Amino acid sequence: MTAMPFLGTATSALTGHYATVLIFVLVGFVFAGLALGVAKLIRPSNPSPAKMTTYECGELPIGSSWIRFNVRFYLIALFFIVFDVEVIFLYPWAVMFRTLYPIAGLGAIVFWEMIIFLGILTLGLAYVWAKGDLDWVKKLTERPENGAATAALEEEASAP
Amino acid sequence: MEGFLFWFCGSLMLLGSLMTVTQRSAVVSAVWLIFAFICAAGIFALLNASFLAVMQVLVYAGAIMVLFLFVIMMLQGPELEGERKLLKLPMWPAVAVPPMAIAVMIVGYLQNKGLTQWGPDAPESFGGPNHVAELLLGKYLLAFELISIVLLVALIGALAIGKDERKLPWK
Amino acid sequence: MPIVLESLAKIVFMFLLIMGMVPALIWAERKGAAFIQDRTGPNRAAIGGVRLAGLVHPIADVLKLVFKEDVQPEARHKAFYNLAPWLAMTIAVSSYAVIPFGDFITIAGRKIPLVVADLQVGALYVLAVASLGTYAVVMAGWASNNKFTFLGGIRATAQMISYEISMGLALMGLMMIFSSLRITDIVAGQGDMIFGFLPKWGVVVQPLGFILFITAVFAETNRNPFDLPEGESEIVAGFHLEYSSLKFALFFMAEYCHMVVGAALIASFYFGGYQIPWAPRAVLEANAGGLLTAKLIGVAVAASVFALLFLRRAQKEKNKFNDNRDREPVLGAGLWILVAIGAAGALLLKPWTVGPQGAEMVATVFQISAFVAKVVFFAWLFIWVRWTLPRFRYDQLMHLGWKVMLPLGVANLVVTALVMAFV
Repeated sequence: MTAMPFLGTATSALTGHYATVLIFVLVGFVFAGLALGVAKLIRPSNPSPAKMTTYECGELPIGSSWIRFNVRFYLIALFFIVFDVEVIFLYPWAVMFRTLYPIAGLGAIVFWEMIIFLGILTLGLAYVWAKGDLDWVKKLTERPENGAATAALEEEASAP
Repeated sequence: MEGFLFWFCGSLMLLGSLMTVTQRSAVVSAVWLIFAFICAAGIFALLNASFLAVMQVLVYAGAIMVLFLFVIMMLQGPELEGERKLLKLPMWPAVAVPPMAIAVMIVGYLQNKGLTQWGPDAPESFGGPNHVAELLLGKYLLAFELISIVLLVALIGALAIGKDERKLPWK
Repeated sequence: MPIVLESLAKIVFMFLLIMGMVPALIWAERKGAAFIQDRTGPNRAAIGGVRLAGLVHPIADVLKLVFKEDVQPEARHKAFYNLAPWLAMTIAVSSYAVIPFGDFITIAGRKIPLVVADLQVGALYVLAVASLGTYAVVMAGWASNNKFTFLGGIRATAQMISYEISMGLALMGLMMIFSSLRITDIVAGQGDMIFGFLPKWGVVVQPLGFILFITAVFAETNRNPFDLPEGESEIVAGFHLEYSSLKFALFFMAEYCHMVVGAALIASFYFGGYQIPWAPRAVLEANAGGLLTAKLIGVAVAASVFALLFLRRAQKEKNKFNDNRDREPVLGAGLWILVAIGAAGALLLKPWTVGPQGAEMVATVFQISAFVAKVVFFAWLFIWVRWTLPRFRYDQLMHLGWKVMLPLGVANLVVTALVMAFV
């Protein structure tokens, strides 16, 4: 292998830029690590059982905190993946739109294929929306007999 | 420099993958997996595929985050129940494959052909967003449009998975 | 070899900028909060009796946090507990690598772009790093093994997830207009004019995109009104509840680093970055001598006025405390007098006769100052908003992210495409 120039080179500007980013991140990493190391050396350390309890405003914690939580977080997470991938396919189109649109015969195709792509995804969004899965606070339709209980439940549901 | 960076990213990626399959705690595994993916992004960057490199981080960071959530949700604790049994089964490929991969790379590197030979430098536009766009909007147009349908199906599938929620007591 | 040196010099410059901005911002946050809430703010810490308007407090804070005992919960996950603040700081810093802080300078015949790494996909790099930032928060929340921190971590994830898509969609409008993912291209494109008089800034061509982007940036930095991962009134301190000493300090600094990045991104994408409106680089270079002279005169006059104000206060409050604090106004006046003398002295060097080489330097300095001024303004905006708006409720956060911002982002994209296609 021939001797490769180091950073930001003429032969491979691209790799050089990424190498610079890598060095930048490493400098940040070392900087934070140094700060932590120095602090570790000079700070006092006298732990006691009381100090090392989990903080719950003075109460003794009951059980582990690695608990199951509201299922809505997963639904949101799954929607996120779908829309994230959608957005990623849009980036190349967005960058090339100005270049491709003026080309006769190609411009309309480029425009409409993206409208179709977006349309199908908007359909998905509309479906999720209509199904009520974007609502964080669920409407309580089946137990309307007690207004106060409903309000309390709604309150509970809004706190994640 | 490229050679050094390749070995740097490659070895870290192998380390990350190894740790992913050997860790007892699923949450720790997930974090090592992210690490391996970031190193993979570094390799993409080395191959001048800048768009893919960033996508690798962007998509997988998000996707693994979801995995992370699921792991925390399903397992309740840091340790997998019955992890010993689970570990015995897939251990041998996990131990055997990386050294083999390294051996292949070393052989290829020494002979300077095949796997590790650096081609002539591609133009800077290669692998960038414009190049990806030309392919996506031209040659692979049908696949591109089909993706939106696949994503729509995925969305409806996600809804079906989360359906249990509607059986919660107050529904 | 000069390439290595110049890269390293830029990296060092960036780190100095960060390390200077963060304590200054912490000071500004406290003084700003005090100003908005009509109180005095930090004014106790002093060096030799001189308080420097509270500027000593960041130093005192750092010293305190370095020497504090690290109180750690027994039930923590040790590796992740230690790793989380470290990662938080590293990730917060890494976004700076792609932000252009000036156009270019020529040294020894080489044109040096003033950006650490001019990535072809810089805008996406920023988004990718932002999405990684959540890992530090989730890791901290999970590793502390505390119900409050855990909720904080989960909230941070859901929040990031809900606003990241809108952020990408908002930026996409800009990418269409400037046909590039490279931040330097986007900034350079904003130097143009539309209709001959309106600067082609992102905020002018993408007003809706700007609103979406700035909202998403606030959400991604976990600042008020989006600070639910910390939510003091509900989950005590959220994800960093179990952290103390320097580990807490790193989280704290990471938040301010994110703020500066957010401000720099808003400035670069929507307010022309280093571009000065109606004064492109050629104009700056052509009038460098006059501009420099005007600037020096302006600085000298302003510094003299400040010095006079301080002297008047010194006269008025001569015996207010009867200790060293009485000398503070005199010290302030002295500093401003030095600045005034410096600026006036520089005039003796005949700045109006600056040569072409110097003209370029002057233009670069003006552009860097424009960039820094914009960043400072938007950093102040972060502080301003934090002390003005209340926190969102969780369902409001989700509603805004998914039902308002996402459809608006798609609509913005379609409208942009239509306008570009038919106008």
